[in-house]
Amino acid sequence: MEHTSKQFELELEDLRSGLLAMGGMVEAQLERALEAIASGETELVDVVIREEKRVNDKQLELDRKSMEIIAKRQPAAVDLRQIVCTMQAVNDLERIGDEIKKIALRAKQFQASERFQLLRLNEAKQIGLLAQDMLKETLNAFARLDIISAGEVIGKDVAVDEEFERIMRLLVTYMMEDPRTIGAGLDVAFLAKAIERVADHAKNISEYVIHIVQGKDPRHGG
Amino acid sequence: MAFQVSLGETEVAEVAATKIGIRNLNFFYGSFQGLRDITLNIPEKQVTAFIGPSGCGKSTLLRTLNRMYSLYPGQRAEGEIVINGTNVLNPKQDLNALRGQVGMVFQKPTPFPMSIFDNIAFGVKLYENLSKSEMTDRVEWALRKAALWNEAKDKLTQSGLSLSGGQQQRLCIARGIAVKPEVLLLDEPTSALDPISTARIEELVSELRSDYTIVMVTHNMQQAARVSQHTAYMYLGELIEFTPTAQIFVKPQDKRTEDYITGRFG
Repeated sequence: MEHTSKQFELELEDLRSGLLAMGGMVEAQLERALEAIASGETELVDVVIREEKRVNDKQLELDRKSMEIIAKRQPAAVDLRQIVCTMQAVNDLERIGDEIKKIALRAKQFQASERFQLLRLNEAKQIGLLAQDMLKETLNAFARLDIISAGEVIGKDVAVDEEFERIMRLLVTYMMEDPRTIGAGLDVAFLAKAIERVADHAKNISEYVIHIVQGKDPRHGG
Repeated sequence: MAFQVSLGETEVAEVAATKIGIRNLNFFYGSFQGLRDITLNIPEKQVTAFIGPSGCGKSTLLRTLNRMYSLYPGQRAEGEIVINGTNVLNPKQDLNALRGQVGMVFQKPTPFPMSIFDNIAFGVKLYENLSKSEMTDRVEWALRKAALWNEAKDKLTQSGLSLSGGQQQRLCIARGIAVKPEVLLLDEPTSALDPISTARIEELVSELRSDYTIVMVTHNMQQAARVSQHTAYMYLGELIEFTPTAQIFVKPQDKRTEDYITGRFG
């Protein structure tokens, strides 16, 4: 059922579409960053850095709108949950933006042996695809308030964590074998970690979807 | 009787004894049924708020608790309202004694056209035989409890009507508690007051809760959220939901409650 106040309805809709627009920006950023890693194109890195500022601006805009709605409307129940969870999701998206910037910057800094270059490409691609998929799905779940998709995203985070652990084990064996690879090894480790964090934030957003719809907070196993 | 409400799956809300046990209460204005099969335990020394759209029966329910309706012919209640083990709907119930036990404050301040002192002493005289000094003490006690003493102590002989609206309402609350009731009924106590007076009354309600069981009707949902521990949502004479306040404004159990408190009503 719609609110008696059409204006309130419009404000909530505006907030929701704003969050999804921010999600779209972040998705495009991840695409660019992963492409920069794969291709080594430094212009893409510059685009990512420039666009990251827009993501930050969007965060400020959506936080301001959320506070205005709270101040004006004193939302309750599902409306309150939606606004608070939107603010949290905005925060997660902004953090994803930060992680993506870290990923992109690695494309500029990296210089290593061919063997590590290949390792890096393969591993970043694998875990990157998983994270991209989670980000896309979590935004879809938020758009449709779909708790089934949200549950699936939360489940997928385990796969990303396992993938990350696997990469770490692999890197450790390389680095033990030849200490000269430690620099390159750490670089790949940081890269994988940043991607793994993107997936964590995507998972958080799916948890907010469950909180909005069901009113129970699934974080920390709740 | 223990009163316990499950909050989520693990937490348990404040546990309190039942002060007023309402069982299968039906109420009729002539042939019109104003309340339908209400069953509800009002916990002791807590604030319970009744919310709902106009005409939902919340004021009617409040007025059954001290049998205010008995003043009007053609109005009758069926079922049970048990206070301290007695069904107060029993025709043999002494109404004066009941109203000493269950006090009431109305929407608009209703001071008597007499001095501030007499406004309070008037009710006390009906129930107790106090000496002059005891009465002076009682009036001061009630005014202090109602947070009006500092403003009224120098003009106790002036008319109650000389006070501001917010002060008049606090005078009515002082009058209500002067007879030392166990339950205080508040029927939209702040709807005619400005925000500052409203805040003072709300503060007062929170303080009085340590001594009294308070039941209030309010149209202001934020007020219910601020001052009550339990909230009942009523619609068309039925009790839809009775839940700890902290829960009802975040995650109500019933869709109809959610539609009402989020402004999706009608």
